[in-house]
Amino acid sequence: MVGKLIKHDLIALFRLLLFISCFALGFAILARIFMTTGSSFWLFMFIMSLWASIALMFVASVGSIVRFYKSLFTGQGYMTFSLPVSVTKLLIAKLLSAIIATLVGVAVFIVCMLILMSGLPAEQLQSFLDGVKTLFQNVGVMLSYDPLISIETILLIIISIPMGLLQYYLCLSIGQLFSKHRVGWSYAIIILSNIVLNILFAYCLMPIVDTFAEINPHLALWTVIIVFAGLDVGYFFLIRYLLSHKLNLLV
Amino acid sequence: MNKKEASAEEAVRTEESAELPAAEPTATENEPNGKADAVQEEVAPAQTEKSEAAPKRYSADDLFDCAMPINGENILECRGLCKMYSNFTALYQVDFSIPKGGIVGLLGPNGSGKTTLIKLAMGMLHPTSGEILVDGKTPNYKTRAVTAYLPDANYLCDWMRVEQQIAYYADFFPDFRKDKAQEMLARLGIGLKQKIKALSKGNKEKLGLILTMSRTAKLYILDEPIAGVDPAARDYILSTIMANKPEDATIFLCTHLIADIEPVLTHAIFLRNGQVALNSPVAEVREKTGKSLDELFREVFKW
Repeated sequence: MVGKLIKHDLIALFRLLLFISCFALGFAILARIFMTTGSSFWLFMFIMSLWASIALMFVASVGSIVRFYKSLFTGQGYMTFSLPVSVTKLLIAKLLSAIIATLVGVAVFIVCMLILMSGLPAEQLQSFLDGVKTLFQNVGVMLSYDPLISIETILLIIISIPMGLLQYYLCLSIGQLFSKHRVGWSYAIIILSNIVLNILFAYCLMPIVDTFAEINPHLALWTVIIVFAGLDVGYFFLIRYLLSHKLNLLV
Repeated sequence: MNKKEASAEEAVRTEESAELPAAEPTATENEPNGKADAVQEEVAPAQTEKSEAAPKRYSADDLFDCAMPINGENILECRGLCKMYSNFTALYQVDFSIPKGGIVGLLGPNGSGKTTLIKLAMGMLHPTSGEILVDGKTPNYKTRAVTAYLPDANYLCDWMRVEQQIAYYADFFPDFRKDKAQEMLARLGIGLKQKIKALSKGNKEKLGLILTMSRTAKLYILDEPIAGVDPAARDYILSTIMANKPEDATIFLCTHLIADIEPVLTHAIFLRNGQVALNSPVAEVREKTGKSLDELFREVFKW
């Protein structure tokens, strides 16, 4: 069932993403062609491609949040909640489809950049490649010095990806509890939660992490990993509770 | 109501209670909002005026809880069901059971608690107290597999084409019959490639009904299926419901348009201010009161 839910969520998300992806890739290819022919038009195409690529990543993440709201809390919610699927599976599917859409957005952005890079003059391309090489060498040195760091970093990235999405999902789930101005309330809760989280991170988490980093960098990383994982789990179960016990379908 | 009238009504009630099966507490006794008094007053004079020679006429209160004939397990059951929203009582001490088979009408004016009851049956809400059972189980995602639900809202995905919506249903409901849906849509002239947002309101309602009735479910819950459509569309909707109902399935139909659905109902439940005001087979209502369901409804819910 999760697979089917993801399939239908991706179909809904890719209606827009496909359109913007085509634009981003099209502009990148045109910019590359104009670069070869020496036309001054290439800069315009380059900027357009860049904008389209950024818009793609924005639409991929924002689109999945909008999709979460529309499919669960508007009229469509009646259909979603009449499916023989548990709330846990619904949530997992929403989360995975949003992550897939965001990753596709990032992938298209990288492809666009590679197309544009390939049109750069040889010297500029060489200096760019040297920069990338140096970066990887530095990372390699760091990893050979302490391989555990790489595992911890990857773990931290994996845990961080759903955190932002879950935070927005939770804010929308709280917003739907109101009978009027639900979108407005959701925005207000999003702003408020961001302020609170930033204050907590800046004044509580970061001083602790800094102290731990002086003792042992692993301890600092694990502290962040545990806090982020705790937030992921907390958000998930709160949303699950709100959807299964406090669902407020209007229309 | 003055004291004299009240005592006269009480006398009639005492006399009738000896003839009728043991009744549940009346709506007035359980009334959370105290609005049932008015209805009681409307019914009382008719009861006191009847002569001994005249054939016995029952009121809606007499049919408060005529249990449905049991022909197997109950598909839907409510026991002391209450649902409160903050300070508002949407449902109060609702008790009834619906056996498998038949077409049951959940009837009541707007705001009587019909949609709340349906949401509870779909597991979209949780009771404040009491319980509701669908096919013997507390409503959850598993009971949704045997329940086909038509909500009273535009629940279809506007951006989808008709064929995509069909594919969606086919993906999630193993009992969904794609061929049946396509056949009904073809008869109606709705193209599979048509965008749902381009359909008229009536056609959207019909599409929703077709998708719901194309399932082979045990229980069909239809929330206001004929509200907001023209009389011709109502006829189509009712004939579609009748033609596609599996023999052993139950249709739980909620509406306030009694006259239109009366011919198809086998059992009626009147909901008034969140309480059951009548629970009786339709034939029994006609036989005992000498009135149609529509007439009785107008009497019970008179302002």
